[in-house]
Amino acid sequence: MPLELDSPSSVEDLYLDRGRPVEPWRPVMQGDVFAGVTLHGLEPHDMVLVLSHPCSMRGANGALVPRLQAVAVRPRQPIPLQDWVSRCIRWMPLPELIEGDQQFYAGALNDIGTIESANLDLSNRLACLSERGILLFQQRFAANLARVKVKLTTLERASGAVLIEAELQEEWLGALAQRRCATGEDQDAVLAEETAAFDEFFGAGGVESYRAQLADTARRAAVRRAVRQEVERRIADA
Amino acid sequence: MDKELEVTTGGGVASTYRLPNESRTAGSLLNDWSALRDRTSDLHTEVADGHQAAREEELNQRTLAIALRDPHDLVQELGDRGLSWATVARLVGVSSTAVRKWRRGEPITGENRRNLAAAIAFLDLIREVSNPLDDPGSWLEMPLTDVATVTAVDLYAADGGKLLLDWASGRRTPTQMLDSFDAEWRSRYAADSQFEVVSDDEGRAMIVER
Repeated sequence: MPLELDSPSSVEDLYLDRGRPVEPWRPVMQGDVFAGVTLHGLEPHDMVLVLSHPCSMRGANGALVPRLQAVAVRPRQPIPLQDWVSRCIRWMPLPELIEGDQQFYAGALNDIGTIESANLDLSNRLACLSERGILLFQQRFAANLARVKVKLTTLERASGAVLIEAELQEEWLGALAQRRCATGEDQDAVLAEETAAFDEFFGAGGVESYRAQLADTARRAAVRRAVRQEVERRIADA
Repeated sequence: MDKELEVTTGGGVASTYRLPNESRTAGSLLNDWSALRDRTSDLHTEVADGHQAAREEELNQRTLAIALRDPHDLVQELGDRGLSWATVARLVGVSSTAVRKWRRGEPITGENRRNLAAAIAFLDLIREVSNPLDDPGSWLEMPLTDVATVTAVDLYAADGGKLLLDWASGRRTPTQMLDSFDAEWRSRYAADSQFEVVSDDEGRAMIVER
């Protein structure tokens, strides 16, 4: 009996953003596609798909850990949406990855390696997967590695809190870091400072921190409101 | 002589029902009570349809009033209520990418402007009819039952909130609501019987076998 994996309802359902590069306010996340960085010891490739789990990507002050796991992204024959379910589980299909490029690409789930996070250039980030896209990626990776199917709803319960945190961090950076960069401040320095500020705000309070509260689905809306109000307050104080 | 029962609906329409005289034969009584039961059943359906239509009109009028506002303010208001952008996308029936573009200031079509307004009108109305419903933004994303993963967002996406409003006002049980939504909800949205999510010693969510 085949594993019967899930698929996106459409190409739009798979991606959060793609094709510009993606704005730098979006924290680097599982499912990001970067050009200009390659994995050692593998057949030639031009792009990678970040694999590290969202909850193990960051350390002190919200900064990325020095090395991240990734898989190589390669051109290949197209994988139609209906074939996601039971075929090609060694691949994470990335349809219409690059605007205007008819070539089909996919993440090669057996071509795994590490990348230096310092080498990730945000201006080379070509795409970000949506929340559902990230869960589909996790499901395919687990299926390829262990021949097990984990439901998307279960994967969401395990990763949902950290994916919400990434969304809120992006809102924070998009409001506060973007304003500072617009005045001519150095983007990398501003991103590091505002990431640390968000991390401090979000993690303060131990078991009652906003980060801890996200574990309870009933409190997530309140956490989002608190972060959005804090962003407004900081904008008003600036 | 038969007794008469007069029923007046909310719209002011009066119906008179003749209650059977119990001194008649059993067969005759059965026929009369059967006929009365059919008529009251018809009345029940008529009243339920009228109630549904009135509520839809109320929702429609609120939607039209809210839709007069700047559509980007409507996106922001849904965010201010604590909804995730993915939930906003599902309520409106667009992709997360579309909502992302709106937040950057890109234009919003008339249809989506109306759908944004409808979502706000729905959240206002369900809070009123189901008092107390604390924090609708949070409630939307929670499973509606312990035995399945279906959420209020799933139901709203299917019918614009009609079933949810019926349930919230006490006119359907959760099971009746879910049966009307999808007869196969127990299997289609079945909770994971193989794995569950627990917290490890450091508070991280882990997937383990049940």
